[in-house]
Amino acid sequence: MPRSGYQGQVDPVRSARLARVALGLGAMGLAVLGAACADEGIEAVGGGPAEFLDAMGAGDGRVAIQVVARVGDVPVDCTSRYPDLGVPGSRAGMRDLRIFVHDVRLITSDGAEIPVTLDQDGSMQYQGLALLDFEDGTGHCERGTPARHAAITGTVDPELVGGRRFDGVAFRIGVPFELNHIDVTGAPPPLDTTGLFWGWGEGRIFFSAVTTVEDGDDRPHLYQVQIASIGCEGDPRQGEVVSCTRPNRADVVLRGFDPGRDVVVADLGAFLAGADVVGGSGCHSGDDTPSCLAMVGALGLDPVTGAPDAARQTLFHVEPQ
Amino acid sequence: MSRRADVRAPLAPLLYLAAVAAACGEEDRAGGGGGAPEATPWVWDLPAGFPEPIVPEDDPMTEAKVELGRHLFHDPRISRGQSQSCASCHQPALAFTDGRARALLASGGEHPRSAPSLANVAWASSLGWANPVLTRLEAHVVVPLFGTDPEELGWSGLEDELVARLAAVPAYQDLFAAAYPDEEDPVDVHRVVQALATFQRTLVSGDAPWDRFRAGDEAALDAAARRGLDLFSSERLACSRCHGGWATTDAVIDAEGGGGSTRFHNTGLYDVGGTGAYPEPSPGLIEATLREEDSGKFRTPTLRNVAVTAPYMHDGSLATLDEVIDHYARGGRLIATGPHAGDGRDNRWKDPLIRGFTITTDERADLLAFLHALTDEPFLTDPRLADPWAVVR
Repeated sequence: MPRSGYQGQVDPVRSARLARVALGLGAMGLAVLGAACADEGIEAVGGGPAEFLDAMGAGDGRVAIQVVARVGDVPVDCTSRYPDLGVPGSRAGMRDLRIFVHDVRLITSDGAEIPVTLDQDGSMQYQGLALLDFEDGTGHCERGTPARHAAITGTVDPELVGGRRFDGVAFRIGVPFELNHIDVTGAPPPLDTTGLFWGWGEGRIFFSAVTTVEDGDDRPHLYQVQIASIGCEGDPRQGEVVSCTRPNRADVVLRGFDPGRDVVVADLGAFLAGADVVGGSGCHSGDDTPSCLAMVGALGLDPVTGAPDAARQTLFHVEPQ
Repeated sequence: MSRRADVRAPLAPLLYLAAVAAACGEEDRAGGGGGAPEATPWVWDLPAGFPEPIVPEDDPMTEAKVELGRHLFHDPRISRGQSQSCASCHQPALAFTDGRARALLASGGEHPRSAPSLANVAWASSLGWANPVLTRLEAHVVVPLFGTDPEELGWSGLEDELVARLAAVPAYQDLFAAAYPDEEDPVDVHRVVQALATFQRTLVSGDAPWDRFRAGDEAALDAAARRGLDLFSSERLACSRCHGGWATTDAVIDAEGGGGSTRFHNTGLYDVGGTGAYPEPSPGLIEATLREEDSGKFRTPTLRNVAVTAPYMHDGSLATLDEVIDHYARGGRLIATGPHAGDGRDNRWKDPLIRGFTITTDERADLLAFLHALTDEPFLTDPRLADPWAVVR
């Protein structure tokens, strides 16, 4: 069940319209004025014209946080081949890029964190959890799913925003413990994604970046970066996982982000720059090679303890749309 | 959950019906499968001294679900390439093992570890050789179904394809409908998992000569096996310290409050380079817990049917029961040369109960006689557990 008061499904038409309006507002940074468009908030928001706010049907606090995945300047998709990935630079395609995130917040210009109540879309967002999905099951992505999901959509409480401008976004990579270990079959989407379920750990793979590397052999081999909670233990009498010594939920805090003006960018080229894509098979939670520790850290966590550490985060940055 | 779970019926005729269903072809089942089975409350018909196993509340036992699970378990369609069923690695005649050191994967490679027996798996306090996380069969079933490291049945990300394949089989339409009579569209992957778990809970082995002896039939064990039992239970050999009780393993839990504590032991099988480590890719419980002291710890396997489950240990590295006795008599295995060289006797994480013992030739023969008395022939040939498709094919 949604834990917020939000009950409805996303109306794609309306969402698209709002997105266009958001784009139109551009540098004014008013896309989330919806957030601030409650009656008492209108006057305070960056001097925005009230009639325009009315035109966009504002007041409902709707927000969309766009996330773009690229290798350098090239968008991530299932058919492109990237010429110079990892060490030594190798030709590679992207087979999987999916990231579970939760605890999504927008940060106001004076540093307050406003929780985003996610749309319950029945596929990619459930409770406070969203699956960012940059594959569509075509091309290299043979074990993927058709739908992509590159925008976290939801609402913020206009009263909490209080007319302030947004200047940052924060979220946590991973699945909350209370959802992470539920059965994969029969779970509500996106928790039912078998391709992101680590059966031996009875938990979700929080971050999955799989490349198919062409290193001169007949068949490309896979290089996988997959991060999940590890060091978990179950209780046989309860029949469930009760603890994990390395949760591996990463904190991402990005300043200078306005959802109406900016996008969150994940640069997989930079992320994988030190990866031994030819000699190695990948980087998993708990691996302790220097390149793997660096990648795990770059998600925004301490790779040794598995505790969140936003200061290490380099996978994501902010760019103007 | 069945709405009619409160319906009571005499057990014997229903068992008969189940057996008939087992022997029927698809057409027969299509005609008669909608009646009694799904209404049948499950009644455990357990051997003397067996406590009831834990059954998850959201996956109750029913006759019809067991029957569905039996079909799935023995059906090669459960692997993406249609080359392997669960029974390929868990063969009834071998107490649901496969006779191999390491199980064959559909891809042609080998699993890193040996297929464990599924006898009495309903009471296992954890599944897999060294996994403290998997404590329910439902959680374990998804490992071979969807696992990628190693890939077993090959369905990661492809569950819709699996469901479509099964739904296209008329027999499954009937079997799922019988097992889930309240569902309009009963074929789904969650129910595949539930049915496989439910069937496996019926793999109850408790009719070995040793069981009959325990139940009071003195003649069930000959003199040699009785002497072997005494040795097995002696302080000197101390086998029963881990392999004791009705289950012959300490890695059990039951619904009556028993078990659930000690599960994993390092028995000194390896001590690679004197480091205390077991060789990759099977380092033991440490792989899950990340604690160094869990190096080389593996779940205590049941010894029921042990005479038919060779080769032994998590990696099948001991070929015969004689080799197993040698290993424990020495207090750990010496590997003199090669990449795994080291003296397991000195493994720093070895269980202190593995301290070695002397055993005469006659005593060894007696101990082997007892271990053979753990073979449950009716279990190995039970038609209720056998391949239901064999008749159809």
